[in-house]
Amino acid sequence: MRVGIEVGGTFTDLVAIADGRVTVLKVPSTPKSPDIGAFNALAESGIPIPSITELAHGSTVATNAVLERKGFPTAFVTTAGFRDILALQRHGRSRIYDLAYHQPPAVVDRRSSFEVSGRILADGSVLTALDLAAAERDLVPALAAGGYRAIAICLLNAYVNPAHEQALKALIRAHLPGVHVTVSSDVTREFREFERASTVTLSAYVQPVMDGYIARFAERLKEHGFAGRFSVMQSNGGRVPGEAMRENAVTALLSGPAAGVTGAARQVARSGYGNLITLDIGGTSTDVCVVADGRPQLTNEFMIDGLPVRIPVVDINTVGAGGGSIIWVDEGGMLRVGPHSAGADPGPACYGRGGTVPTITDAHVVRRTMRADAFLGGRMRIDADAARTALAPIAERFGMSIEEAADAAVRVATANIVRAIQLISTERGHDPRDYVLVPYGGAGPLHAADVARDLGIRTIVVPPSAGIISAYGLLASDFSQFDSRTLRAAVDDTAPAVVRETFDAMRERAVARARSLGLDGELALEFTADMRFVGQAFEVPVPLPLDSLATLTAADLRARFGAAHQKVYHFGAASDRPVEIVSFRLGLIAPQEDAPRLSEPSGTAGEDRAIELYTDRAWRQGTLLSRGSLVPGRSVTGPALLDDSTSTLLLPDAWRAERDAADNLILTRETRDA
Amino acid sequence: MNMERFDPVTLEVIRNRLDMIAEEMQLTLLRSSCSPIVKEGLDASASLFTVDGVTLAQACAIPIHLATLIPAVAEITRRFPTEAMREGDIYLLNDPYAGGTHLPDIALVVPVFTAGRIIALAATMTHHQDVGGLAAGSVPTNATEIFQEGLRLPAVPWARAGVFDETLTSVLRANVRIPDVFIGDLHAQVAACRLGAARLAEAAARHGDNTLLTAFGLLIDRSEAMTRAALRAMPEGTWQAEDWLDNDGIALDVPLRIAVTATVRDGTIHFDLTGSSPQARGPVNAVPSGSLAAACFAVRAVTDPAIPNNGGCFRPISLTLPEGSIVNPRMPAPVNARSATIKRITGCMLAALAGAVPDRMPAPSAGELLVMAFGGHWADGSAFVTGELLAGGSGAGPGYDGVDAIETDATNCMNLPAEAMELEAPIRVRRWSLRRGSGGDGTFRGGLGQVKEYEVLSTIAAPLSFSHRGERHAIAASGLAGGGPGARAVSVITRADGTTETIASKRVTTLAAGDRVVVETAGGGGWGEAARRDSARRDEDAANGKIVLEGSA
Repeated sequence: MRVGIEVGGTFTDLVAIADGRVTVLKVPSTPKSPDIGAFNALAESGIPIPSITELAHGSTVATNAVLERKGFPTAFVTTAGFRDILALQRHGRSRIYDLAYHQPPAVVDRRSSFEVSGRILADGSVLTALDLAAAERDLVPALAAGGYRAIAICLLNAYVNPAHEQALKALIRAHLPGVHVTVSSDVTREFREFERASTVTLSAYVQPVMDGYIARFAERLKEHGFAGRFSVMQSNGGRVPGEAMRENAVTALLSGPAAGVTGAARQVARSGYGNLITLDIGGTSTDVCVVADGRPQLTNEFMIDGLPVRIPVVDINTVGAGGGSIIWVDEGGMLRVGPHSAGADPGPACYGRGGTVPTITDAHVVRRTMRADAFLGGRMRIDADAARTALAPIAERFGMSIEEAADAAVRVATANIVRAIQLISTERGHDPRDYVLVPYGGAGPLHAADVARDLGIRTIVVPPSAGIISAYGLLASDFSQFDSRTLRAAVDDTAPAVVRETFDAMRERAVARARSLGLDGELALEFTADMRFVGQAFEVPVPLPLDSLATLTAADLRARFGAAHQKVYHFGAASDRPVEIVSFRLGLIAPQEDAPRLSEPSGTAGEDRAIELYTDRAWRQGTLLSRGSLVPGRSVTGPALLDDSTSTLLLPDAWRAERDAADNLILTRETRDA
Repeated sequence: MNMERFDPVTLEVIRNRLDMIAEEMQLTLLRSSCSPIVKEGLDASASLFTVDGVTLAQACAIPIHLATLIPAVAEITRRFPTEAMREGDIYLLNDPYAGGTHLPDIALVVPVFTAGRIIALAATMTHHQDVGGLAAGSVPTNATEIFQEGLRLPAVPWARAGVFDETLTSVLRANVRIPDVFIGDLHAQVAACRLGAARLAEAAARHGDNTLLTAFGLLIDRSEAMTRAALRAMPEGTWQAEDWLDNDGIALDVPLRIAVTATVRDGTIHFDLTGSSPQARGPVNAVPSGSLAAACFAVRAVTDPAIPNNGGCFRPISLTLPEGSIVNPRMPAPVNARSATIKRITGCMLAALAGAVPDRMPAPSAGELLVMAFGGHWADGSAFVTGELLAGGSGAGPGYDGVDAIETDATNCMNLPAEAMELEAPIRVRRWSLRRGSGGDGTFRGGLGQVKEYEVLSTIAAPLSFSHRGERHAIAASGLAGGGPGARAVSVITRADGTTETIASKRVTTLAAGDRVVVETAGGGGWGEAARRDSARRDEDAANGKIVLEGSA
């Protein structure tokens, strides 16, 4: 038995797979102690814990520790003269018209920031030796007196020479056992001291939290007789053994959305699709991501609460468009949706909890594209009249019927989502028409067809149990690790040797780390150089296939860079300007040979029903059917609604749905409205 | 078509699309340009215009670019009427006295066609690293005529129907210090404009070009209506403010006055800058587009920044800019340091509007963006040029302390990481910290300035050239509602032999190995009586070392 448990803000999802049989389950989360919700889910599933061979877990513990500033007291140690790195930041502001703008506060304040003497220069040479005696005399007692549970160390130019950081780490660990010590060169080896300091500080800050959480979780599993493998999700879409996460907790910061993308990518790969755009629509927000050749695209420019984290994470774009997004009319008389949300309380008007402002969920209820008896499998009462009342002023303002207004609001929400997808596709050189759309989350399948039409996408693939795909992603993901190193090199005849030497050094380190974590078997490597025209500030990632390294020439490097630059910036392929490499990245993946399959839960077939629903500006006759009854070989054409216990799929007019051998629904648009 | 009859959803979809196109154009510019001021200063913007020259959408990361492409597009279309433009045309302009801002900012405009019909213009403006003239970087603080500031381009076609004018290209290359980078950055502008043109043509194919053109007009009218409504919601009246620039870079002991009278009436706003200093001999003069950018920023900051940014927003704004003054100079006055002036104009406009919305307006900020440039050769003969942009503290407001070391008003630049500078130049950063005690005292304390110390390493071939363009060295940011002023900026060069030289705000000099420069930027003004500051806030400041305690050194 293999089990994935994903703890979200509202619900904890469980997927259990054994011998091709799939069980899915949703229980309320327990935000104060998320592990309670996880064990509640296990209890409700009835699965005997000793029978679990593999348990993969994802949670928002690390993320919430940062967002709510609930980490343990943390100190920051840096080079003499630079105590204020965390406060100085980069001095730009993200809201330029906000006269009362304040920067996001660092997780460590000035009084907990300390300095050590010793200076390394940009070429790695030592200008002043590290004064370990002074550190032992002054710094260690100060750290002890401060009662810190974690210490982040970021010394200037440590990305090129980590010797001082490592020596300081050893000294502090020797004197303060039990305190978590994290150094920047172990987390990210890239230049720009504020970004690196921010990354290592956030890493240190969440370290004791994650360490305690994972230790407690593992201990409790053991008490219940668990003898299988326990692993935890990372933000890069891969997971690591629970023990490894206790050492590098920063990689857990964006793990929930990453698990969803990985789960979607794995499940639709079984239908032969490798290029996809994922669409996860929840209550307050929508997450979108591009997957190319089966691999979620990664970015190194992730921010949490406005603070940079320079580690590779799945490149997910989030917009404030979800079921709870508020429908409103602006001062210029235009219809707008979001980014404000009615939240869970009072929530949409139709929840009957006192909400009176119209939301997208209310619009769906009015259009009958969400059925009042389908919320939480019928466990939640829906007030359709309240939804109509909330939308009435909007309808009146535009001289429309209430249904027309609801339909218009859904189209505006679709436009917002389309824009979010364009940001990560067209702006990164990916043409959405070359991709299939993969919707999931509670409301993804409701909006997918409209979004696809606007983007020119002709095929939609909907995985089974689309509402719990993140929990499945935990089980389906590979084990992975990423490493990076700043190393500037001109692209000339000396470059190929530099590339090969760097690759060998990075590979050796990565493989040794993987083996020490117990990852045996074959390891796959991916190697990328970040390159730019000399003088540019931003680099373009240029993948370097391993089999090209042996015969690599400067001309090859230029050509690969030119093509990558042309793809993103629409010029540069023909240029003869000098090019340089700025840094290298190595990805290590321990592939899972026997990733479990997600299939349609059995026994969910039911009778079809005729329904009326409002789509594309008119009431239409349609079909309501349970997803389980769309057996392979049968197809259905829109308008139709397909329910499963986790989400509702809207199939508009002109779309056809079929279930394929992998249990995915394949939606195609007939050409007549192209 | 009647405004109320046009499908509001289609309108919102088209608006979204236009904003998206401008953003995508700008991202291409920001990320692929070489100019340091684009990379760290975000000094580039992208716009779409109607064929009549009205802004449809603009992406700008820094407010100093708001509306600045309008006169450039107007001049280009005056000289080259849109009816005669052809697909594949590219136009350039940078002359401040004919639609430009200052010479490093080059406007590049491309007509957008669909099915042979011109429907719009795509325009970009980039601050180029060097356009020739007196000093590397083309921002000499000691220029006295525009002819010393670099290559001046009136509206000129660079390409007609897809064919580049190679004669012009060779003239461009011959007039700048690093031709490859200059042409490369122009190509980034061409790519961004072509991308915008292609995306807009796609939108026209989708919605129909007539629908699109109708939507353009409606969107502009709506932004105008929203701006007027927001201005109507403000109290009517007339308010004044003044502030000072340290000097013009030539006469170092003569401060320059900026005076603003703001009048809000019946959904319109008027800024009269009469009383500002006569035009200066040095380069702090700002042509009228600078004051328009400042006004657009001030109006958005006090109204609703969510109003879609297009030409409609500008219609309720009017300006009086006396000819021959620092805010409307006559040719050939130099203008390269205009951003310092625009920052001060913006500060004065906001200070005047504090009379209308006192509960929303903080005390004056340092309003200082220290611009430094270091250039020379490494011992091995290779050249380096690097720049640094440093901000001071922001003003405290009713209910909150100012922010330490933060960009404010019309600019929004990033600093240069010490590790980046040490990679690029033979310079070591010895120290970089908050400037203790520099925030104006008050019930709410002004934000602190910062201190950064540089040392020139022995790996240089010869003394390097150093330029320093500061502000707030002579006149501090004042407090509001009884708050105290922020500390003034101080910069000192300590030569290798121990002698010291204080920089009077602006200076061009050389630095030899072992020379050090310490710059301390200004603090923001405090808000409210200092005696009423909450003791918990004072204790917190003391614990974090942000204030100088009485009795301590």
